[in-house]
Formats: sequence, structure tokens, C-alpha cells
Amino acid sequence: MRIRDRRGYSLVEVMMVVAIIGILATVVPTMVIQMQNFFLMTSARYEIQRDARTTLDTVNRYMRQAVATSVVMDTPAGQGPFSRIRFRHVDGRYMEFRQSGSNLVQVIGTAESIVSKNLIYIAFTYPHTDDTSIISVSITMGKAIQLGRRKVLELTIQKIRVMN
Amino acid sequence: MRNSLDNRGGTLTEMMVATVILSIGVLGLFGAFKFIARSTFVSRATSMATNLGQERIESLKNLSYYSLQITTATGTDATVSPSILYDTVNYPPEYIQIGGITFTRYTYVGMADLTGSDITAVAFNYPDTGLKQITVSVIWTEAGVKKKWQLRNLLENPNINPLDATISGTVANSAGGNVASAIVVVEQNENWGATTGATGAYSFSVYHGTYTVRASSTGYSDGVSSSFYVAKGGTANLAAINLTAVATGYISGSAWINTGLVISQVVAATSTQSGNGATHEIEYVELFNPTTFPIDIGTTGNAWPKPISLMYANYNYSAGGSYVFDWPTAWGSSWDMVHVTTYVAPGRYFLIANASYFYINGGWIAADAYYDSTLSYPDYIDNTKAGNIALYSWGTGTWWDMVGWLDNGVGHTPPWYETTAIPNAAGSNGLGSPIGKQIVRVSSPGISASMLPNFGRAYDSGTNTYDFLYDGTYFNSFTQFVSPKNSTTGPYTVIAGKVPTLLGTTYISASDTNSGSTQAFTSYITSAALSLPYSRFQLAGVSTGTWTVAAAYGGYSASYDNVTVTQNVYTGIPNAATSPAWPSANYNSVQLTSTTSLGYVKGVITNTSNVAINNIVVQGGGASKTTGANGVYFMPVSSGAVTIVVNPNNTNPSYVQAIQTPTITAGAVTTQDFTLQLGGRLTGYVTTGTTPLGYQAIAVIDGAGNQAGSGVTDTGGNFTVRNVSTGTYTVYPVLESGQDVQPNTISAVLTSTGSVFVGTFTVNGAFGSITGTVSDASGLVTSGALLLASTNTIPSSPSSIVGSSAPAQVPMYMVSSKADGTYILPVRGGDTYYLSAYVPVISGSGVTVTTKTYTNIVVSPSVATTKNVSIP
Repeated sequence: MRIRDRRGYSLVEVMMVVAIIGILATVVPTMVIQMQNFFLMTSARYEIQRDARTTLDTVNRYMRQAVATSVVMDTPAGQGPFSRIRFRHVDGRYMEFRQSGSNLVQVIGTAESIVSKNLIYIAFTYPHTDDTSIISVSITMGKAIQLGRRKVLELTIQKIRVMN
Repeated sequence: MRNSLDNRGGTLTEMMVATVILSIGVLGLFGAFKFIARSTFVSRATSMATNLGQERIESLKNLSYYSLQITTATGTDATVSPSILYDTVNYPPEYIQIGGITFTRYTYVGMADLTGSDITAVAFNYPDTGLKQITVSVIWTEAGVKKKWQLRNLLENPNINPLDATISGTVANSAGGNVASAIVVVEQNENWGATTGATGAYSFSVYHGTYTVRASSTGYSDGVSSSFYVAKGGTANLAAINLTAVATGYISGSAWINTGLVISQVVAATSTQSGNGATHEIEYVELFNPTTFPIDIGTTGNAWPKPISLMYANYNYSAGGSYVFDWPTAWGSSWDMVHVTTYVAPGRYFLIANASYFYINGGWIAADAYYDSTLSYPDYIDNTKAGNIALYSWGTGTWWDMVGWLDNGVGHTPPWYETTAIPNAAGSNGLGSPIGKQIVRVSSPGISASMLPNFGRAYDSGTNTYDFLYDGTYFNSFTQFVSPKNSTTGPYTVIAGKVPTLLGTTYISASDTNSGSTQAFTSYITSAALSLPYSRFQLAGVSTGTWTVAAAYGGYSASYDNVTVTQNVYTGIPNAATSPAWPSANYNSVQLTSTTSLGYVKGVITNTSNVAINNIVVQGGGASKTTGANGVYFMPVSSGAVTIVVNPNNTNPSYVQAIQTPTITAGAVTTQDFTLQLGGRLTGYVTTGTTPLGYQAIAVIDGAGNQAGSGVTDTGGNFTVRNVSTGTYTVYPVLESGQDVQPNTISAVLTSTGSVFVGTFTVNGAFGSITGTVSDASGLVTSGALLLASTNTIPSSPSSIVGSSAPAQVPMYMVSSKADGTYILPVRGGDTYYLSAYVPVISGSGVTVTTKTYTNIVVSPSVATTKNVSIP
């Protein structure tokens, strides 16, 4: 048996390590915060964009097939002005889109589902109420980000032609 | 453990290397974020672009067919490929910012036509097809690269009758052959028609009914079918329409250029009496002016620069065989002569001699210029040496003429001559005055000696031996002495000149529609074993009738009016009936004498059915003509790009004005045909009751309910619907929903006189708008605010809007503000409005709404009223 060199680190080496760890300790949290911010921003943006897209596609598809005379637009209590639209699809189904706080709720028949949880503003309007063939939908999506307390906004206005 | 392993830790170096590797990996991961973000951006931007495009299409499709304005003023965005054409006036580009991306939205509305099952774009001035195509392009920048998204949609006119029947048949000529490219149209509606193919067959769609069709083709008289009925969904197979070929004849003649003086006679020596009665050796040179203008020949002792140099040179073999410039003085110095006459009048001679006055051939004659200042009768022209006379024009910088002759049998050639020098037979006395020893230019190729005194002697083929009478050859029977002529006799008729085809190309063209343009060619007259060249032309296929014929060679041209062509007959020009007429009976000799930078333009003015229109004014290039029979015009115009205006300012109100800019080549004939649209006009006025109403669409329909035209009022409320055929029409403003008009329609009768004022429409409910910004305590509202306007008071919490009953109620106008905090709310003009703004803010599971109402907002039609909303 041979005894090998089992010396530990020298004091200088240890001090160097401590110093490096110290420097890293000051830098890492900032980096982590920034990374998290970036991640949150990106994911929030992605989420509300996806929401906005899905919402508009859904609203567009169904409202295009609406029966014009069945359309009712109103303001549910405690919600935004003209944030609800109810109509009958040309295939006979009852449909509804409405705001509920930051949720956009879709009702088909009796089934309710939440299309988006990032709603900030929605309004269903006729540009002028004596022409019911065009409905204008204006949607703003947004999401709060904890760090930095910022919101990402998307405002889209679309005019939809009611075909029936 | 007995056998322990190596328990050493890693060295610092190893650790650092490991850390570096790890860092590279981590940094790479950061890099990946960029691409993830970009891919998100791409799909987001594309979907937003689609939304923007769709939104524009939807709002445009909500307009009525007539209100959707066709794009006439375009801009081009070449930053994307292929470049985008867009409307700059009716629907100008919009710049929309969403989520940090700037989108540019372009709109283009074009007329579309259905050919078979394909939709093709046609020009905006094409007859209304009843189909408009909307193209919306959205472009944006993505990672420094321009991206494009394009959507197309169609808008159809419900008033257009469907083309539900078919007419087919063939067009043949009287010989039984097919007539290709003939235009076949329905006489009752000239918008329906087709062009025959190679087999003479045609087929096209019409609305069912009773019709006749007319076939027309260049070179044929029009043919019309008998009346027939074609049923809905049916096909009318018509019998072949036979077209009779237009009768044609020929135009022929000879062409000559006469641009300067020629040397018409040289006598080197003759022994005769001079003015003082003594006998001397007299020599003379005779010049002739075959042009149509006087030529300056200089004055006595005139200093440099002089207009013309006359030079004599000979081959001085006794002085060692060199050329000597001998007379009157050397090249370039002054012409030392005494001038009696200073100009050579057109068609007259000019006599230069070494005596001022002398006796010749039984009479006395005075020189127009003489070089005998000291009564020494200098003998410059040597009658035994090879020599020449040459004539140089300093004004044009060209040699006008030269004639050279050989010596007396020694075999030397003169310094200068044209092609072949004139022989000077051995054993004779050389050039002189006896009969046959003169050098005398002839008046035309093949002329007989007896005709020489009658015409100006100007034939110039560029070969001295062809152009002059001289000893021995050419005219063996020539036994006449030709007396010199001075400026006092004449003018003499010119029937020949330089042969243009020996120098270049001469074009001949007639103003008829059938013949093209032809080139003159060199032909020959055989005389005394010589083939004497001249330029001949023969234009075939000229329609029978009376035309204008033009000839052009380089910068020279001639034009003859009133040329009558009969079938299968060769008509020589000019002749007794043409203007100008022939120079002398039976000489069809075209004289190209006037220098011109002009070109010629000709063409046919037809209507949309290819039928010629008479008495249409054509202007351009400084000329103005009126079309004659067969709708033909033909006129000289300046060369270069010339704007030709047909029917300027609707001079003939039945047709519209047409403009083309062909490029005219000097001396050549350019063909430019025009097709005029029928140009009846209906005008009128639209008002709101108090002010003129601009941008109001107007439609005109005919008795069958087909659309006949449409227009839009200008800002002064006036409208003009052009290109309306004569007939009775119903005119009405095309209303958007909510508008009403008094009266609903006006019936208008359009006669061929053109413009009819139909009346005044009073339209209520045309749109204006309220615009402005929306702001609350924290500044501009960027997350959306609702704006609501109405002529009625607006309740603090508006009631529901029900689609089935809303149209009957007092309208409300609603819009959401945009991401930049601005809004545009279109409302009907001519009213006073209440405006309410609602700004909702999410709080918990509900929404808090702050609101504000404004009153007394006055909006006029077509005017934007500004109202900035500030809450609270």
C-alpha cells in the first residue's frame, strides 16, 4: 500500500473560490429575474396572441353564419358596454359570446366554455344600427406580468358581414 | 478497502474548462429564445394581416356595386415582389399599428370579366362587366424583410342581366373562303361580340332575345345577319355571313428629287461674235434650277462666304500630268464674276460666259454672270483636255452637281465626274459648239431631241453619260443645236430630276384603309442601247375612292390630294385631277422638292362596332383634319412623339375624345387607328337640400333593366355619366341603407345631341363623421373605449340592440376606439348628435365603466367633425 498525496486545497485556492462564488451570487439573481421576465413576456404574449387569434376566428366563423334578425347585443350587469352578443346560427343553434370580467365566455346551445382568460375589452356593435348586415367586433387582450407589472395589449377591430 | 482508488479532486484548470463548456451551452440556449420569439412573431403577424385584409374586404363588400369605386389613380409599392398596385384616391393606403408592428393596407378595386370560367382583370375604362374585383394587400416588415398578404374578392352587380344564351356562326368572303379576325357584334348591344378565329368561326354569350349581328373586317364591306331569336339557355347557329371584298385599284408614277441647281450645259469653245461685233472664242456654262424655290447664287465681287462655288478643273498633261484648278479662280477664293442676276428663279436657267453678250445659233443672248472684266474674253475651259465643272453649295454643304469629260483621244480622265465621264472623240476639235459637240443635260430619260426646248433639263441619274447629250453616242440621230438659255426665259416645266431610289428608299402611301405603304423601285428606260434608270412606284390594293397620296424620301416629301382610284385600274399620280396637278400632260412625275421634318400619320376612326365615323376632328402635331368618307384621316405632322387627339373636347357629342401618342418618323407614314366610344352624356345635380352632396354614386339603367352607365358626384354635387348610347334611361342615386332621395328616379331621354341635364336629386342621410381622441386620467385610452352617437338622448346605460327591430328605430352609431387612442365614428350628415363614451376597466370578476356624454355635435355630410373625449 502506498499513501498518496491527500493534501486539501490551500487557503488561497479556497479564497479564490469564495470570491468567485461571491461575484456570481451578485450577478445570478439579476440574470434570473431578467430571464424570468423575458420568459413571462414571451409566454404572455404568446398566450394572448393565441387567445386573440382563436377568439377572433371563433367569433368570425359563428357570427358570419348568424341570422341577422336574431342578433341581440347588450350590456350584462357589471360588465363592459355591449360586451355580449346573442344570436341564432343559421343551423338553428343558439349562440352567445359575453364578457365576464377578464373571461370571454362562449355559449353554444347550453354548453358554456371559456375562450380566453385574458380579456380586457370587448364590444360588439353595429357601425350604425339601421344596417344589421355588418357587425363590428373590437377585442383587447392583455395579461399582467408579476415582475415589472406590465401588461401586453393587443387591440383588434374586425368587421364581420352577417351572411343570413 | 485495501486498494483505494485515486481520490484526487479535479484541478482548477479542469473545473474552468468544464465551466466554459457549460457556459457555451447555456448561451446557445439563450440564442434559441430569439428564434422561438421570432416564430411566434411570424404566426402572429400573419394572422393579424389576414384579419386586417378580411376586415377591409368586408367593409368594401358592404357597399353597393355602384358605390364601390373603381381604382383609376394608382400608386405602386415596389418594395415587395411582385410589386403592388394600389388605389391612391378612393381608398388610399392605411397605416395600422398593432402590437408593435406597422401594417400597410393597400386597396385596389378593378373591373373583372368572366372569360369562360376564369376571372380576368380588365382596365377601368372597359365597358362595365357587372363584376368588380377587390384586392386588399397587407404588407409589414418582419426581421428586416418585407412580407405580403393578399386577399381578393368579387362584387357583382345585381342589375346586370346574366348572359344566358349563345350565338355562333362563321364569317366568309364572297369567294367562299374564311374571314379571320372579323369583328362580330350584336347590333342591339355592342358590348356583346367576338372576333372570328382562323376558321372564320365565332361564338359568344348574350342575354336571350331577338337580335341581328353585324360582321366587319378590313378590306370588306360590313355584313349583317337577318333577325333571329335566341332562347334562354339556347344557341343560335347562324348561317355564314358573307362579306364582299372592297374594290381596289392601283396608284403608280415616277418619283424625283430636286433639291438644288444642276449643270445643264457646257460649251468649251465656240467662235462667234461678242457684244462689240468682233469674233472671239466664247465659252459658257448653263445652270438650271429644278426646285420650287429661288436659289441665291451670289453677287458681283461678293466676299466669303459665298452661297455657291463653281469650279473648273482639268487634267494638265502638258504640265506633267497633274490636276489643275484653272477657272475662274482656285477653290475657296472669291468668285470673280460680274453678276447681272443674283438669284436663279425656280424653273429657270442661269448662263455664265466669258462674254457679257454674244451671238449664238441665230440670236443674241446676254449672260447672267460673266468673267470678262477687261474685254479679254478669257479662255478658261480647255476644249482639248480632260476637265470638269463642279458645283458646290456652301449653304447645304453638299456637291450639287458635277460633269466631267475625257480629253481628245489621249486617254486621261477628268479630276471629277459622276460614274462615267463623257467621251471626247479622237480626231475632233473636242468639246465645242458645233452640233453634237455640246454637253447638254436632258430633261428626262428617253426624251426626244425635239422636246428639249420645252422642259427644264434636270434628269440626273448620277452617271454623266446617261444624263447628257454629247458627241457620238446616246442620241445618234441628235442633229439639233441646243441654244443656251438665260434667266429671261421660262419658267420651264420640270418632269424629272435626281433618281431617289439610287440614293435611298422612297415611301409611297395612300390614305385609304386597305393599302399599306410601298417603296419605289428602280426601273429602266432603254434608249440608244442605254438603260436609263428612274424611280417607279406601284401601290396595289388601294380602295376605290378618292384619297390623299404621300411620297417621302428622307427629309423630302410630296403630297397629292384628290387622287381618284377606280377598280383594277392603274391611276398615275400626279394627274390632271390631282392637287397639285401633273407638271405637264401625261407626266406622272412626283417631285420631292420641299425639305421637311414632317412625317405623316393616317388612320381610321371607328366606333366600337368597327364602323367608320365621318366628320370627326383629328388634331395633333400642329395639324388638324376632319375624317372624310370611310372615317379616314391623313395628315402631315411634326416628327417625334406626337399626341393625336380625336374628337377633341367631345366636338361630336355622340362620341368621347380619344388620345394616342404614336412616334412619327420624319418622311414616313405612321398608321394610328382610333376606336371611339359612344359618348352621350347625362348630367345632373345632387344636394342634401342645403348643400351639394359629393361622392354620391349614380346609376343609369336602360329600358331592359341593364346597366347603361354610372357616375359619382364631384364635391360640387354635379355628376356626369359618359358614354351613354342614345335612348331612354332611368337615372337614380344609389343609396346606402338609411338614406332616402327625392325623387327616387328620373327618366332621361338621350338624343344624338349628346349632353342631357336630367335634374336634381335631394338625398337625405349621407354620411359625415365624428373623430377625435379618447383619454382618461392616465392619458390616451389604448385598450379600447366604446363611442356611441345618436340624435336622441343616450341613456346612461344603453339598452340592448335587437337585430330584428333596430333598423326601424332611430339609428345609433357605434365604434370602438383604436389602439392609438383615436376614433372615427361615421354618422349621417345634416344632424346634431349626442355622443357618449364608455371606458371599461376590468376589476375582479367584473368591469368598472366610466362614461361621459357630449351634446350638440353638428355633423355635415362628407365632413369630419372633431370631438376629443376626455374622461372624467
